[in-house]
Amino acid sequence: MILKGVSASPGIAIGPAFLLDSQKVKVIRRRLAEEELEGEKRRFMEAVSGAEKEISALLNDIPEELRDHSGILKSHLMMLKDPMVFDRTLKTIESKSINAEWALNETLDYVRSLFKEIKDPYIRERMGDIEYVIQSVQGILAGSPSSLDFSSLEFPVVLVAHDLSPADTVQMSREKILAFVTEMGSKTSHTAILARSLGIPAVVGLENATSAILSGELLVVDGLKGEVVVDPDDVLLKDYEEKQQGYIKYRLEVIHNSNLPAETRDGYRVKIKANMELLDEIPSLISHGAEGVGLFRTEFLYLAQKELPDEETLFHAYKEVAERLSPYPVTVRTLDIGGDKFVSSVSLDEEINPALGLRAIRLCLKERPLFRDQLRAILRASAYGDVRILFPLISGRMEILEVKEILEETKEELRVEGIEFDKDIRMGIMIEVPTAVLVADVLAKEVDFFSIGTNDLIQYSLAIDRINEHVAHLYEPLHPGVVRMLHRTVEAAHAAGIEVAMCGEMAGEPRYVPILLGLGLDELSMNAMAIPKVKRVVRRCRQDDCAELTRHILDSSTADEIKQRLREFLRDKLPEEFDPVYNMAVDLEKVDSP
Amino acid sequence: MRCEVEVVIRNRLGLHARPASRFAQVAGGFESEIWLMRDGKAVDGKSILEILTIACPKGSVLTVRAEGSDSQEAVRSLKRLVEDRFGEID
Repeated sequence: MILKGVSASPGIAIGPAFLLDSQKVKVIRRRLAEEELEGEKRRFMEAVSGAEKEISALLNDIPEELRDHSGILKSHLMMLKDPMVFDRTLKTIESKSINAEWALNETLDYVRSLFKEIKDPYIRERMGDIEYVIQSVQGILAGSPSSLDFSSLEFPVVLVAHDLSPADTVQMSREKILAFVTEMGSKTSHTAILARSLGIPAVVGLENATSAILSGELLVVDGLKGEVVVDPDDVLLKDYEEKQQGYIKYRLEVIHNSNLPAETRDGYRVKIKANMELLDEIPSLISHGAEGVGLFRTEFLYLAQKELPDEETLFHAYKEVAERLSPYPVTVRTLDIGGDKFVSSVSLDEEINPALGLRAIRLCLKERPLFRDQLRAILRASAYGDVRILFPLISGRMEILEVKEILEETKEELRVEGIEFDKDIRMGIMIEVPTAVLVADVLAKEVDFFSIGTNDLIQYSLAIDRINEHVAHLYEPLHPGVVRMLHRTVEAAHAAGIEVAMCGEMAGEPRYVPILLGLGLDELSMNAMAIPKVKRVVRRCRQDDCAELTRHILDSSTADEIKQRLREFLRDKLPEEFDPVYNMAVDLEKVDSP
Repeated sequence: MRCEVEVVIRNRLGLHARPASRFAQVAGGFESEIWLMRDGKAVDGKSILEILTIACPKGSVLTVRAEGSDSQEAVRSLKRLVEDRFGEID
């Protein structure tokens, strides 16, 4: 039987189920006599201090890997003593002459009714924390321990529960708890965040888990897909054991290889960076071994809200990225919007062919204030780290000259205003329009670096709309025309003494690494998840072998011929790199990026 | 004694979970009763939960009211807290 829930923490665990009784304390209403009131209030206050003591004890022993999240428990301490909980409950005991449990329940109902009205979903979700806090006081009032004790478990188990609080999760040790499954919770709940930090696989939001699963049944928890298999047969079990091994191997790979330099056996060094869009991606891209950000997509701040973000908002976001990545560099791409995306504040006419329409640098050159705000923000952030600017969709020299003029004017403005920025900030362009490849020698004289955007370059060169299912199969990164364009771009850049990077999907495909090394690219920027595998392939290659492969490939007349040569190369030179189990683990890991 | 002052929320994310807890913490340090008011709704300035129910974005104007022996000082400190973006680097 396979149960579907929500993946909250990646990994695969196999082990016996251990069901936690949902010890929802049953609350009864009891009317108190006048002389009982003082005692009841004292009983309530003592229960609250008991709960405080429990949380403080957890905070004291919080494991190293969870220290960043101690704010969650600290906020629970504040909620316990919040007037809305504490004072209100005391008042209710007094005014209604009822027992503490019932008064606390009324408090909970009241807080719930207020929070239901809150529009902000993040704040509404904090209601979950209030429930945990109140539950823990109810537990103490009922005389049962409110938080769990896992130390008495004799063997490791998969915990199955209606719900687990952050306080419960903090106490889990990987030796005792293989994974957990809950009926409540979401990917962004505090419990899920803690599970990810602890590295404990978890599936949440699995309705009926506590009724569908019996204690002692063998479970497979697939935290990558958000599935739980109950009592798997031998075939399925074997599959999952392999998947588990693949995943463990992959994790070890990340840990061991991620910080090694991407250098071929004969000493060719290529920079491996990450593409990023959101600030939360920073810790993950660093742990995957990125040597900086090769492509910071800036559309998010423009799409996230109705009004255009102002210079200050942009500046604070870029500054944070620059500071958090420092000393690693971050290449900020200016607004690449239009086409399929859409800014609500700039009214755009409906276009029949948006990919070829008013977008990216074209839009920025037309909407000058929009462009200036972004340039000012990027320049100001450059005082706080190694920031570079990248302009998208450049088709020829005139556009660069126009862009450079605006950039210089903007720098001058900042100079006059006495605002700091990196005066030697490096500026580069995306190579993604076919004419830019043809005049790459001209463009190389105007900029500090190139970054090849393969997704658009391939789509424009082959005249293929990838979204159109009737032609999508013709999209072919290994078309001889595409490979020759890459070659031409690298040659032109190196002849002018500038570096050339690649930031499209092609850069993160481990199979293409030998060709990219053979072409002589200086930098590859990709989805962080792809970095460990790409680094590993780079470290197994020799650049001279790759250069020879690429010479043959440049002489090939069809994509099939190129693929055949590449397959032979991979089979002869890197047999151990492309086995199916390992690749599965890499594919699986993609699931965990939200 | 009663004191009142208008404040403008300046931090990027607005009056959110963390700023609300900072406000309640600082307010809790005063003897005076403290209210935070927005659009005619007043909440207890010492309660993080009540403050959360009037969560509002950057640019919102709120009124801080204090009543008690140290009301002047309370209002002054709370105004500074809000205008310093609740100590967030932001």
